[in-house]
Amino acid sequence: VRHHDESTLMDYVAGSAPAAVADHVAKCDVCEHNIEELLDRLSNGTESPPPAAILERAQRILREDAEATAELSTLLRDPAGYTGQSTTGLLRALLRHIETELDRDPASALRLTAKAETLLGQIDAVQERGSTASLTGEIWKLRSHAQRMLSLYDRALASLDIAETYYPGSPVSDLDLASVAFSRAAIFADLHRYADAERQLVSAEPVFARYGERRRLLHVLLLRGAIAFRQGEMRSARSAWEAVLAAHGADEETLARTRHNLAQALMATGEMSAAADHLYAAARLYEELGKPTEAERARWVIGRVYLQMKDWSRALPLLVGAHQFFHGRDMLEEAGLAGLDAASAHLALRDFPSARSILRGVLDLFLARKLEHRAVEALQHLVETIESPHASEALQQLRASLDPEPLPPSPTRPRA
Amino acid sequence: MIDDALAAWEAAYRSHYRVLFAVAVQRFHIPLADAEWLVHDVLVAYVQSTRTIEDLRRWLVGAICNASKNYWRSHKREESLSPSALSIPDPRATVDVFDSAIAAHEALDDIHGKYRTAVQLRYIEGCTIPEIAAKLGTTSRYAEKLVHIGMQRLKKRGEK
Repeated sequence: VRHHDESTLMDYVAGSAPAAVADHVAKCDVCEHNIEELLDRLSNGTESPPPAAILERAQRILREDAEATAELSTLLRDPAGYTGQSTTGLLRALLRHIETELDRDPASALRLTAKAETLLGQIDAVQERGSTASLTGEIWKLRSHAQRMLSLYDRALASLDIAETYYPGSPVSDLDLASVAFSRAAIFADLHRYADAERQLVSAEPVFARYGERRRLLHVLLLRGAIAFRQGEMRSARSAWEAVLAAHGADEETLARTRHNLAQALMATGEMSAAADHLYAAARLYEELGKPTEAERARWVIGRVYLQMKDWSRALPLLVGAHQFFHGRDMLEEAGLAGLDAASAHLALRDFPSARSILRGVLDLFLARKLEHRAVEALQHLVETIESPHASEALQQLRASLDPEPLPPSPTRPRA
Repeated sequence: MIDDALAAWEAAYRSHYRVLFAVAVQRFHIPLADAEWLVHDVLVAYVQSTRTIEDLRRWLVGAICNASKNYWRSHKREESLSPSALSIPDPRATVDVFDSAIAAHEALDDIHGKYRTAVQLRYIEGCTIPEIAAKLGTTSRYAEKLVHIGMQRLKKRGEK
């Protein structure tokens, strides 16, 4: 293997090396080590203290961030009625909150981006110089994430177009724009525009590598796996996800998501036992991360693995548990589908009263959700004929018509 | 808590300032005073970042390279300065060049962002050089230079 000289490595660091060099360096430990040595030499082993004006500026920013923690609680109690003073610290705190809110309640996150815009309008742009432009870009990017999660794809793409116009003045404009490109790729993947998605990933990947953003690089790999899966290329999907698992630097959420995805690829190729192992590991990680809903979702899929393996007694407690968990959290769609799975296991074990009881509960959920008339009719018929020899087959058909095997989730955004 | 965060930022400044400055000057040939400005912009962007940074040195180096490229992109649109640009213009003389405050504002639109801000603070808002330096988060020496260059450009524009 031929490693690159210092001049070429400096070009790579500066973002002006040819693609072949960037590709090599991103994967080469020797070149990475040489870059570190080169930077060590440039620093000349000496330190420089910050001038007082810069130190004061950093102090003001940090003070604003500290004060924003308490102020954010006040704002979140009544965002519409909040009339407190706006600072960039408060805005940064709100943007961080919106980021976490995206997973919990994207509609609420979307509403909060409007409040963030109002706060931004009250900030003295001269005093804050370039930072207000970047913050505007961040608001539009978060808005796009929320819109994507609400399946408002056209608006999500338009929001990214707007975000992009605010970044050029930022010192890290290339990283910000790469992050926009990644978000676009995730939307294109949802829209089955795979070639467009890949073009965006190709533009983002070298920038993430230059900034040492390993986790974001893993998210690129994770998304490439999801795209391959959706195109039915199971081998490529598995290879991408196995590479994520083997890589250093993956955070636990990425690992959990990757294991969850990999399990679905293994299920598609009939490797049920390996799929269950990955799902158990994913559920454990989600629990440790304090994400009980995701953990339950993983356990639900384990139950479905056992259903496919016809291991009814192991499937049953997992599926009943998922049904009850989602029902308790008013996640009616998931509760209904998990209920149908649990009824399948009861039926296979010839426990007709339990199967009927769960199906009646699911029927109520379907009526509450105003589900398609034919599905409701089919379920009503099933409840009445639960002991017939064709009930099991009818239940499977109903289940498949409502929700074919779900696609693996793709990362929403390159997470921090 | 602020003290800890500030100490961490100061440590990052102390250990990375030199390498960032060297990259800007040696790799991108940025003039010394502007290189100082760019490095400060990058280090302030770091303290303002809402994201977790995985590899601080690579992030900062990536940022200074990008900021340096942006610098030359924006300077391509501007005329180069003659050595006389560094002489101190008399603001009263410059005011005479314009017929009205409206013309002054229009003229300000023609100069680059940081020069524009510096001139605006000095001659429209009446700030002193140390006050401008504090507002822009830079040194007095650099703030003074921004005002001088900005005024020279205004003068040139007024003569056209």
